[in-house]
Amino acid sequence: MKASRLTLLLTLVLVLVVALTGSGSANYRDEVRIGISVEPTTLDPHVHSNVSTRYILQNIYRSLVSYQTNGELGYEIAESHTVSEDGLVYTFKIREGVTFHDGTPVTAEDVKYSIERILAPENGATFRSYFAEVGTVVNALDDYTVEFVLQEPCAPFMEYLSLPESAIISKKWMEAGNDITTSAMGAGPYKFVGWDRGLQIDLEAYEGYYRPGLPKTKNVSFIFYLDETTRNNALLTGEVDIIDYVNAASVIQFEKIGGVKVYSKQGPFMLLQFNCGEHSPFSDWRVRQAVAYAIDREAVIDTAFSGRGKPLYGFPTIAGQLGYHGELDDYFYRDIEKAKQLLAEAGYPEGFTCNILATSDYSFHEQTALVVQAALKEIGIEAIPELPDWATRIERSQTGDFDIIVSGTLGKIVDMDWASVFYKSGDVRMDFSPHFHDEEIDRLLEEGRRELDEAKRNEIYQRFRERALELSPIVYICWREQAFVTSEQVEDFDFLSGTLSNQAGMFLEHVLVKGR
Amino acid sequence: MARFFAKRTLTAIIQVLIVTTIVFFALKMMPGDPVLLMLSRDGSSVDPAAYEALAKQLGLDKPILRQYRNWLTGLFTGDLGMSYTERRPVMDAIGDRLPRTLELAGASLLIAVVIGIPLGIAAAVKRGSWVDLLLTGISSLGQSVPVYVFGYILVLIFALNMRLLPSSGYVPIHRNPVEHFRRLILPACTIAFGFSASMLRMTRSSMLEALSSEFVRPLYARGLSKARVHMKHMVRNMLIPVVTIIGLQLGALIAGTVLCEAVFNWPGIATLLVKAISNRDYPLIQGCMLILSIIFIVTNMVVDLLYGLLDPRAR
Repeated sequence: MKASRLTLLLTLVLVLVVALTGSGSANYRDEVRIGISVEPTTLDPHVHSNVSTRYILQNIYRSLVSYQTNGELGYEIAESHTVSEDGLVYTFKIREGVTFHDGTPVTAEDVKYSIERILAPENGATFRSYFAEVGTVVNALDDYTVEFVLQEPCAPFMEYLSLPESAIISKKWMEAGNDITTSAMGAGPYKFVGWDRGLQIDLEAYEGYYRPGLPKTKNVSFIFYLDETTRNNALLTGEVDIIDYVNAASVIQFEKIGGVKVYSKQGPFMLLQFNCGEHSPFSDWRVRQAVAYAIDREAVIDTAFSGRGKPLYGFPTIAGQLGYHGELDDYFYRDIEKAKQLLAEAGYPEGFTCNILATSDYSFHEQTALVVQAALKEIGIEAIPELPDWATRIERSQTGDFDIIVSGTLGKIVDMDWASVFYKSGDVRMDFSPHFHDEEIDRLLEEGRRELDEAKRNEIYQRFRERALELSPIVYICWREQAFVTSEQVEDFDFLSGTLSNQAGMFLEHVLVKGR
Repeated sequence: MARFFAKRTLTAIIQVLIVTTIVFFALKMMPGDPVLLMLSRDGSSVDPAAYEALAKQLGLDKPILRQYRNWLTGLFTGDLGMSYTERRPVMDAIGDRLPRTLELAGASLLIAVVIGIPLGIAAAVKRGSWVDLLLTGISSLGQSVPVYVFGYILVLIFALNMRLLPSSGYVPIHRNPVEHFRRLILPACTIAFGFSASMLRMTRSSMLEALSSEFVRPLYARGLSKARVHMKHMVRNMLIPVVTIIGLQLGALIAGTVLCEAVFNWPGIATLLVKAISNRDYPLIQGCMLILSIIFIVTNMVVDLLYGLLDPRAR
């Protein structure tokens, strides 16, 4: 009897020990659930459809190189590279042992196939022009060596390769007839499990991932929560662990409630573009500068972003970065008299009537337009707000059908060359003031991209920034924040500020969620 | 009856055709180009070659009348085209979403009937009492509070404060039936609130009419009990207007799901239609509108037929 009691006791102790140690490793959940604001319309990694889709795809696909969690460029599928003296030939060594999710090794042929797919115009790859403009040719030298030959030097070329939309895809998988828009297969930390339309996308950790020990959580689900309030509530009730695109008013709410972790960083900037066509008053730089002097940036921040944001009176380069030291930060200031004077000099002492295009789909776009309207009224410009839905707004921005347009955006790359898309003369496009044309700006942007000497580049771009403010085809308003909110159980989540706030997916492989 | 049925069916088909034709041409006139929308994602200019390739792939390079003919041909062969945003046949997308909306609408209808009709009878029988006042008071509230306000109030109480039910979401029934139904409760009650209110009012007034009508007194005179008169003879008479109101309100019920689906992240056909419109996903919009107009028209038809069954004079 005693002996059996002892056995019982020992068994109990044993069970307890097992249970405790067991719970030690089971302390973290095997799943992280992320409420994202948009459902993808394509899974094609070479097409940038929106930031939320990029957030998903960054976990499935990787590029040769990419910005790491410390904000520095680092290797992903590549393990080393060399650049020829003249800056025209980039040779990459592919990390041996990197495999796609079907187990096949990533080879130079796959890299060649991927970049050539981006270069083929009919595929509609978002950043095709980046590679096409410098005349990129890809050669597979052997299984693990790939070379890029450019027609002209290109200082930011590594950045082009680091874009999530420069993802390396499997030639074999594509040639097997898989549909890359509805399915996905890459070499990233997570493999694609399924896309349940209207509900969620599920991913599962890839055991053959080239970074040992990662990803930390076995399953990731991206659940589509299109309504903002519903998304916020889903986080509060534990339906999801992480939510993206939290707006300023909600950030304030979350900070007040507590019990969650708020991650807020400087994100995109708000700006005005102008139709600079011949017959438009905005073809005159003095009129554009008048707008820059007239608008009340603080009022925009208070109205559209609940007071959370930073006014932008100069050019959106942060002092201390890209060879810039803040000299132009106070280029503009609010001065109604000066604005009126500039208007008079341009031949509009009585002002004029025009339209200002925004969208009613995003309240901060709409509110920005209304605040700008009020400020312009003070200098005699009657700007009539037009607030169609987002789809119409996109079409009108692509065809230049507006006088003033409100935009909120970011440079696509960290390098100063991001400004080329915004300022270089050419076709009407989204982030550009239609019909704007300045030879000096075009020349500076060309030189800046071609120049490989850092100091000389800094000089070129300093001159460019001055010229860009002088002519002001784009008038900057403010920085707004980018925010994620997670439950308190989520560990090691983060993202970077500025341009890289749009590459938050790099952090997910580290994320852990404590069991409740 | 058969002739009546055939006539109504034919009218219904013509109605559906008219609706979809109007939708087709209205879409083409609506600003917003789906091809530009799909290509101009990140500030870069749209390459003409990419534009042409995509327009061709979507069949948007053809003249409008030709596109319309293609769509009609598809309609009669049961092929509604491919959705641009879902990247699968429109039929599959609707096939996934429609049952979810019908489930939500059905659950709401059930709750509304179960609550609305008995309470309506009670209010009529106890006319003028505090019960009547309370019920008619609440029902005016139910009719005037918008779905999204009431929905968020329910979320606030039952999900955020009491933590009894999930705030939103959808779990397919085959994955987890319990979670599936737990997520159905709040959205169904949200729609049912307003719906049961109008049901209560309608039941009350038609019950009152029945109570004061002439056929009632002889029934008492024959010695029938009060309960028997109420239940057997009056309810049947009273049901005619109630069935009408259910039929008429089914449209409003489906419309109510639009906001409710958004508030509760319920992936039904209403949210699908909203997504399709904001992406200018032409085939998907047309498909959804086709199905929704069929539902509308068919319910009206069924109401007509039910009328015939309940009231012999209408046959």
